[in-house]
Amino acid sequence: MSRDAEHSGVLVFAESPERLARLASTGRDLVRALGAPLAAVVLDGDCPEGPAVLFDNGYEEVIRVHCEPRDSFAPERYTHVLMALAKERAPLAMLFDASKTGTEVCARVSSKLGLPAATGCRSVRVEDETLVVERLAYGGRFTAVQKFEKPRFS
Amino acid sequence: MDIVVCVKKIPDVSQLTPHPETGAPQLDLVPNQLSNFDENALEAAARLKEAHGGKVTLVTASPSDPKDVLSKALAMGADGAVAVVDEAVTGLDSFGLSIILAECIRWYVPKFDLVLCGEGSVDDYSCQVGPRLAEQLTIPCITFVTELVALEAGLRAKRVLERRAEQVSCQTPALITVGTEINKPRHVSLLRIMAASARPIKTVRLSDLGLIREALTGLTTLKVSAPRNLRKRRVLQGSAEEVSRKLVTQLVEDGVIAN
Repeated sequence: MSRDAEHSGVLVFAESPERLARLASTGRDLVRALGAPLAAVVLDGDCPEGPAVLFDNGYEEVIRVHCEPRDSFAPERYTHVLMALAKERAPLAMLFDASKTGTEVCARVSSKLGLPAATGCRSVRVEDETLVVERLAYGGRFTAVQKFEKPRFS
Repeated sequence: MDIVVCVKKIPDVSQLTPHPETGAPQLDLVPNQLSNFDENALEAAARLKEAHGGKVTLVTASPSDPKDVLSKALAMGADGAVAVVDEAVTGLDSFGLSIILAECIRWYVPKFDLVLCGEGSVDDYSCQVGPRLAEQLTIPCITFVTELVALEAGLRAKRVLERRAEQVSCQTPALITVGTEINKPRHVSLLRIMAASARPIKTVRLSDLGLIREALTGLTTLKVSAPRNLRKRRVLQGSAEEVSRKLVTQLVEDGVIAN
């Protein structure tokens, strides 16, 4: 991961404020290492009670995206929103909830950006300006330590 | 309905053991097999083919010859296969694999109605290849599908997420990822596997697709190891009552149970 003036911040996305709260601790560790701000992305329909609680979890910014609530999972909608934000803000990293929703949206967004992604991470850290993750492998019987090769990641 | 099924040759993870000193998986000591979820994708493809006609083509990328596992996949109902066999595929994650599979489909199976993938592979389970491949091919994608029906124009699927199940539909061509809930893969006899091995398998290299390894590396694996089980090997002796009392005391001291 190379730091440059064009890239800034860490964006965190999840379908609900509860899941965003769970990701906050990993996000805080990352921004501490990167010296970058931590922002949560939440769609209005997913957060009817308002996003104020997210500030208590350590998010410095909450990006509310105005849209109508929907009954079904719409990966295209999430992808569209996150792609627009990724282009506008060029984040150093994006964190997704390791749910089925988060996994699919992560794949779609990172593929559109031409970037790799690591899913189901048990830990995420920065080493020598590179993002290093720990994931389960081989049916959960082994642990793999992997690093990102691309200058940016999601 | 012409269907592409993406399959992956993986080690049988149920037989994997860690190296006694390094803890690394001893991959050379176990047989290879089709990733389990790929068998469900193949079964779904075979059933659609039986109901609606068409052909099923397998696509795979592997650092070593995958014919041993492709024979079983062909016996399950596939008509042929295209295999990207290249040492440079070693260690590639979903970033590189999805690019290879997309190029392979574009070059060798350009006309298709449906791409079926397992929701993940048992060795990595990133669940990324399906949706990434759909993005590469710019086709609709439905993931984690548990029921699939071909309509006159398009597909209807049921997908199961953590909190809800949904009925969704899309136009073809499309990509669908499936898990084990969608069906029970058929058993194929050794005789059928041997007979199927005569079906065509086209083998190509990365260079045939205009790809180079450097452009395909996303994540680099630094280390794979099994967590060490450090057993305390304490033996409690005495009568059943004494041993029970000692066990409870020990568990309290170790913080396993509250006093």
